[in-house]
Amino acid sequence: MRLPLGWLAEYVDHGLGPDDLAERLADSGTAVEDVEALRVPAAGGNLDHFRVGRVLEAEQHPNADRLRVCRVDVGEESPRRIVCGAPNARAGLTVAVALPGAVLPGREPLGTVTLRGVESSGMLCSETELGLPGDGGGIVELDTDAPPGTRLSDVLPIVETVLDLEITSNRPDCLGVYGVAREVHAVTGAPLAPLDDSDPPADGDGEVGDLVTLTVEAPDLCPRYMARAFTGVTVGPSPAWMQARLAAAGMRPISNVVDVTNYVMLLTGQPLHAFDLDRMAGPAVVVRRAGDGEPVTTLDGQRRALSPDMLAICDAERPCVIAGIMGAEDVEVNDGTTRLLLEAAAFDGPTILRTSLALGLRSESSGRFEKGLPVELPERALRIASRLLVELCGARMVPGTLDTLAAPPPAPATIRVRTARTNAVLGIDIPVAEARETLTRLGFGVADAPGGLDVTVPFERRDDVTREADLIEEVGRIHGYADVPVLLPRLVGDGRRTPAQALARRLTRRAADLGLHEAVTYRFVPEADADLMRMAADDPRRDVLTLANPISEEMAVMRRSMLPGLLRAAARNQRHQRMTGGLFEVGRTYAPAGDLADEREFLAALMFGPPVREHWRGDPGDNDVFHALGVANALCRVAGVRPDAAPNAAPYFHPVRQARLAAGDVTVGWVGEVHPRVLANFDVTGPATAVVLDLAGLRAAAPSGAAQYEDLLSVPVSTRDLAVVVGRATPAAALVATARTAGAPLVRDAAVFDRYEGAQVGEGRVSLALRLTIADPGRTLTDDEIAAAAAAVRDALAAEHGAEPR
Amino acid sequence: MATLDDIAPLRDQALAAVDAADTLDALEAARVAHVGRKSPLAEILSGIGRLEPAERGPVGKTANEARKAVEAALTARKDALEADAMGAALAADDTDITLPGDPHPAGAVHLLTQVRWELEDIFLAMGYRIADGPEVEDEYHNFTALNVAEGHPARSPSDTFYVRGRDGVALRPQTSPVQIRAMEEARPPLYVISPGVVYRRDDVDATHSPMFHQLEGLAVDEGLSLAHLKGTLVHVARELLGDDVEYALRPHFFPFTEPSVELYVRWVDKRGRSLWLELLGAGMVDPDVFGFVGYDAERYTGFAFGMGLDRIAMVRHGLPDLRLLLEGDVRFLEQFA
Repeated sequence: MRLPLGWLAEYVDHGLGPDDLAERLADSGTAVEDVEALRVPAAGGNLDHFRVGRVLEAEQHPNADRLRVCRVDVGEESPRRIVCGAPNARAGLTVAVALPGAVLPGREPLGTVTLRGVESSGMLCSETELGLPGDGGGIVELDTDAPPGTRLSDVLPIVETVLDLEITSNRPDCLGVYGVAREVHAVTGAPLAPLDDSDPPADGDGEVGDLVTLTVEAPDLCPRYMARAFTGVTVGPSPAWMQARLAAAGMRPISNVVDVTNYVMLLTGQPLHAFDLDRMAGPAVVVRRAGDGEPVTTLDGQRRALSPDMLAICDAERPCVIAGIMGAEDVEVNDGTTRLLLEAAAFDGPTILRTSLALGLRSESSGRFEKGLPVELPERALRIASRLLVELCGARMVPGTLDTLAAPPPAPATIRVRTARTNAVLGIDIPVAEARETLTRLGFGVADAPGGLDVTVPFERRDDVTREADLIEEVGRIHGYADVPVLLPRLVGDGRRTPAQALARRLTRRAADLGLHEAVTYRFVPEADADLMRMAADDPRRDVLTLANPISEEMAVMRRSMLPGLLRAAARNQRHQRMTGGLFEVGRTYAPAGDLADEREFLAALMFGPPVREHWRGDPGDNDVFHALGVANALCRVAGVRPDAAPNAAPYFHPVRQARLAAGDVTVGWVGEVHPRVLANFDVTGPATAVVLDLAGLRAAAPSGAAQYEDLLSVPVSTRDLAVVVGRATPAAALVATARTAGAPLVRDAAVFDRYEGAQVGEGRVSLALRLTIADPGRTLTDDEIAAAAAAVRDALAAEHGAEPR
Repeated sequence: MATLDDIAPLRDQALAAVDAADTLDALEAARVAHVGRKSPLAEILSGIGRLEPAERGPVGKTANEARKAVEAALTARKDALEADAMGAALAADDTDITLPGDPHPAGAVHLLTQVRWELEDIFLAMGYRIADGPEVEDEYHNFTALNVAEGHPARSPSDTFYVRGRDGVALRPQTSPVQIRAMEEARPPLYVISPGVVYRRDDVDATHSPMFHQLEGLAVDEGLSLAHLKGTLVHVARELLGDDVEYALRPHFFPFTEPSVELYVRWVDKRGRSLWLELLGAGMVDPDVFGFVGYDAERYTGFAFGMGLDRIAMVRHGLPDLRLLLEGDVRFLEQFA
């Protein structure tokens, strides 16, 4: 909310500069986003150069048709000669004069100038030149008794500073100048002037009930509706002071009637609405739910269709206002309006919010109503606005007030606030006298009570202050938190990472050490990802959590796989000429399950692009499935897992160059070359390979307990190499598994270190070389034992796989 | 017959030949010629037996001394020649030592992860556990138990992502539901942080994202006051931004804390402007929240706090645009390796 400090000063003379005031407000809970100096700069004695002047003579400039040469009394010994181009410059006017040296908004200092041969020592100002609202069509015509020479700033608000306040959602009372004035009063102790909400005389003819009827059909959405009627209205511009305040507060002056409603809203926080009574059918006011699709053309010229969950203020025939949000064009006050209906009402906040969101229509009014305003507030606003209409618009108030109150407001709550509790929560000792003073200034009723105070809540704060804790906050925030000591709790927590968190962290670090860059990608993805990933029509991974209200189709469903996000990132890198690279992400996937979702944690890595020679000493390895397997193994080692590769059939991988990784019965992940069609779908230049690790699987497969020492240092460890020829379809992993089983326990490891395919071993055959590591911790083996162990392996390979020695 | 007088010249010739040998082969030839089996010196030594007995002693002694001197010279010369040869061989193996060393892969942990780990470590050291919870969360934990009133804008579909076909189930708009779950599972004292991904229905721009990252924390114990909250937040600010960080604790409003505060820090941005910057929100746990989880609000007090990891990363590292964090662009990622 924009708070003009000149307006604030009418209610509380705080004596602080704008920056100091901003800091005091911020330190008591009203954040100040900006301190904005408007209009004429006040610094450096600039205001001394602005005076009230009286035009004594205005004669035609000898050399210019449009200029006049004026003699202007500015309270000096002799009048000044000032050349002026405004059409309204004439003798007898009281005007705003800027003297040489004056700095007008956004301009260089004014000098004495010669215009078409005539020297001009000053300038007669228009509103726009002073930064005030106005059409700029002529110079200011002051309506003041102040003598010439009076400082202009004493009669015209040419200086204004605006604080841009962030009002928290619990304080709609501070969406009015007077509410903030109360805050300033509480913080500074400067006296708070009362708000004059006295009624004007009701000297109009008849009675309001004779002119208009009121029916509230939806009291649940409109707990109070009040209205008054006025006759004899003369619509015209509002006075300059009011226009200046509205403009400073960020609202455009429109007409005296509309300006009065806006002014009272800005003052009290209660929005008002004025209707042209003669343009209302009936005339009647019917407060009801809108019909399905019922049309209304709002003031902004938009035709809108309403729905039955929206509240409308209607006449006998049609909606005249979308309640609390915006009025319709055809009952709006215009230049010809003479009879008015003035509305002040309370509406259901959530309804206003929903309607405003549904229509995409927000206004100063809806922003206040949506927070829920008390039913007492309309009465106050109605009285102030009535008086202003009478004083400024020539209106005569028709006796009587239409008023429906669905239910009487709750009696003010009285809450005990204990001094001991206050101090225990805040960690400082605030004397009860200070608490009493603070709460009194904030408008609470306060009475002494055993151990504390009994506090009665005014209606403005009814929704916000309901418990002792709320009062403790009031006392604390006005006191400020600068002198709250800086303490730490004594250390009693059992701070630790869970094994899952620890593993995720170690995997992340290892992946980075392997040369991959960690990416963070959106967890909501296009539904079409399933197609791009070549999922079959009946693939269960097409079952996704769909957002009811996504921002776009690109962010429509929760991801079932992390690869699409990485593929998109790879494509983005390649568009920036990063053709080759490696990305990984640690995060969750989401599948529908139970009441909520099955959220599982994965590490996905994508190595994309053709191998690039980046170093002068060697060529890079191929980016193929074995590269991915190497990455996967290095990652699994973090968990102490050595997985075996098994055939796999994911549609997004190369059909025969992919594998499932398992440790025993537990699947820990998958590797593969990304299918060329998937690469094309994501605009990725291949090759690309991927690793996906299931963190839960890795944890399940991880060995438990601390690793135990084996004495392989004091005994020789032997190796024996076996070269065997097997059918090409026999997986190397099967030979290794057989060798480990058959050779156990002396054969501690078996690994394939060479592979040969060709004429020497025959068609459909392959030669594999296995290296056996043979040892017994703590004992030296005999040659016979070693030979026997190797022989056992050889025999088992022959028996199980038809392996022939080569 | 050689005489004693013949030996000195032979020795001098041999030493001269050793000196003159400038290759190992020439040195070997000199050795054979001057101290080899058929060399004059060797012949003198082998002929000693044929000399007069009176000459045997002096000739033998002198010839032996001469041979030892020559052999010592040979060894010294050989060492020198070998050293020269090795030096020449090493010198010939020259290269450009300014070429790059063998590559070791250099990846990077994401900046957001780095910031999260940094904060996790700060809180672990203060005795906090790290709690995880669902991102697809029910209405009770997302809102109700956090004291967010029915009809509050945060619950509206314009602010929060809901899951189609599941009444009230939404992507968590903050990690606070994890705190509720932590309180449901344990009794005080409770010190827990919940870092993670959160979702709000904001359009993507330089400072907004529908998905971002938070770290929230909760402490519930006997005797906790705003002073302990302040101390905790100040400790975090100092760890993150330096011991001399200027700060202010200012009142604010959140539904689940009362009183509520924001921690502001004085920050000098890249352009040298000094600003008060809102670093995080916090407050004393609202007694209503304790009511939802069955804690005795008279016996226990607590505080909660929450901060945006993306925002902290942006401020501290001078990022102009939030989107940099979510694009997986290696040109960005590798800057924070």
